[in-house]
Amino acid sequence: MKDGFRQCMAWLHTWTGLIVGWVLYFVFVTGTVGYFYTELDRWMRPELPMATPAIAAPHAAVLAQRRLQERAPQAESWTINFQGGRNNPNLTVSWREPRKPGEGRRRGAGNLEALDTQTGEVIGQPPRQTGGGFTLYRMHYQLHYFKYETAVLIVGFCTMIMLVAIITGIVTHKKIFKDFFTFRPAKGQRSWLDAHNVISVAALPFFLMITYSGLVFFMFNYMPAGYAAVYGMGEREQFYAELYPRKEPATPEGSAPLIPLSSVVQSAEAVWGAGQVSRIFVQMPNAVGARVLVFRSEGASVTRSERLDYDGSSGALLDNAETGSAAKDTQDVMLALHEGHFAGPSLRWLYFLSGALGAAMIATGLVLWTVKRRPQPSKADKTSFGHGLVERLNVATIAGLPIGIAVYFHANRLIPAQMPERGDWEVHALFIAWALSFVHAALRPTLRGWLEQLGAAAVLFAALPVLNTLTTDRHLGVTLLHGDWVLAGVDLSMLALAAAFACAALKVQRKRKQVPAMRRAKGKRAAASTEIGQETPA
Amino acid sequence: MIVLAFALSYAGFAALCLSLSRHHREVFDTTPNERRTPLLRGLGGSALALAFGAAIAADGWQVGVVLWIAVLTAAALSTVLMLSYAPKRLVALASGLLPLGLLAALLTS
Repeated sequence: MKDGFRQCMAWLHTWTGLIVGWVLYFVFVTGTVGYFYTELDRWMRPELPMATPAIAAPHAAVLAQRRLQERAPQAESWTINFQGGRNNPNLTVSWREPRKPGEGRRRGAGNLEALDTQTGEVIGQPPRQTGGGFTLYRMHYQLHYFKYETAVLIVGFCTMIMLVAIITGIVTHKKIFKDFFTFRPAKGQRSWLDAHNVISVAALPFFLMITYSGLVFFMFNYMPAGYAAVYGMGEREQFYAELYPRKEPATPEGSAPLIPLSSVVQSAEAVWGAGQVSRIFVQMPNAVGARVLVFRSEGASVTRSERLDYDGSSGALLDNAETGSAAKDTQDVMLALHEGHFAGPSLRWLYFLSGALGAAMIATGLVLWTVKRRPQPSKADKTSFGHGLVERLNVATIAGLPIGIAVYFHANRLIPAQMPERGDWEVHALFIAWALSFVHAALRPTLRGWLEQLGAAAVLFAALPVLNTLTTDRHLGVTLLHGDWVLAGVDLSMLALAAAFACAALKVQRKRKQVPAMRRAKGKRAAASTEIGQETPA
Repeated sequence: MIVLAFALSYAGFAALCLSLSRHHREVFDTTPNERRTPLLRGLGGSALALAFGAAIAADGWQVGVVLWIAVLTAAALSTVLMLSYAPKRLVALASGLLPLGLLAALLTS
């Protein structure tokens, strides 16, 4: 062990960071990309229409109810998404077919239609089946190919270790105020350390918040002793049922006409203000005991959605107040901060920046680990197995995962729209591409591996808007003219990412040009020769 | 209002940065004298506090706090990048952003 508190913390920081760094990079990248999941969902369903002229919510409710009554009067539930906000440029309706006896609740088994706001007619075509951006988002806590419970435990374990890494990092950073602005580029190891420090400190409040609040999501999985003492180990469902009483509607006892939803909307707008209704969820329409849940647009405060419940036959306001408590409210705020749904457009991009900085913090830390431990070119040692392993894992993760994500989007455009299970195959494509990047990293010398993978990422992202032009009519030529900034923004962001990866690749190429000159100079002095293909820059 | 918050944050961090003698030398080629350092620190802190006010004005007390912290992150990074790659223009950028921020705040309020 080390003497001195600070050295001890430094050792802990280095090894905790290394062990969970690659998993957390995956979490940060999928989480940050997934923050825009509704935008990506739209981009990955190019059959959906672009924005239609906005109309007031009560009138929209009339059109929506008319369509739903015509198309799915016996549905188990209806959902109406009103226009407004980044999610819903269109008035959309969806419904869930009634469950057959003995069938469990099917995830995602819904039907989605967009309605023209002038005529109430259905517009666009049925969208292709896809996991969308939502699948990327879900991967950041649920991983993929793992059982849910297992994945949550893995991510939670890594997150707790990340908390240790952050705190030990703060303790170890001796001159945290004096070095707040210090960044010395082009100085090798010093530059990597400066970059790691500046990034970590600049977004430190965000990192502390996102890590801790992430754990709060699954706190009963990680710390079950509390509820287990009262309910018994494993009886989490009963605990949740009492904590969040869900008034499940009983089976329909008879039919009763549903009240006009426009009056419900007007009622809610009287309480919240005009334009504040974002969504309506109707349980058991056209039945006795139908319930209409009205959701408020987010952004008023740092909490999760406000909701008003109405009786579906009489229109009376129901009491939906859950038993509040300080603990529940605290949890609510923490989860809202993590999810960041309340954020308007500018704050949304700042959240994205902070998430990207998280990925950069991890990446610079991982690279710093290898740079610090590179054997001197004059020594005869080869790089050790552990060092070579970390170098290659770095390439395959830091550059390889973006390659996988780019391939995911390519797959969305290339896999035929009618193919069954195409959503699953989009995700398989992501992981196949990522696995290939591991193989590539294992076979190539380190610097060349970096150059080729960063270059591949740049090419793949730049190709996406082009592919978009060739395969759909939701490409930049159309979306910019139409003013659909969400769809255009996705394409433009791909181009920006491509540019960033290209810059990184150029920097690596410049470094590669330096290395042979340095090796020639040092090789003349050293007796031993370095192995062919082994590049060990200073 | 958000632009103003960013402009004030950037100016504040620039001032705090210049209060450190090493960075002052990088920008002005001279070390700050005894009076300058506390003055710069005071100005910097005040600018960050005013940025807090702008953030609250933009999005209210709850969301505004989150906005302020997020804007500080972006401003800190901008200061570091300017210091490393264009140190002579560190102050000029602040002088340009502040009137822009004020204008934007006036036009949208």
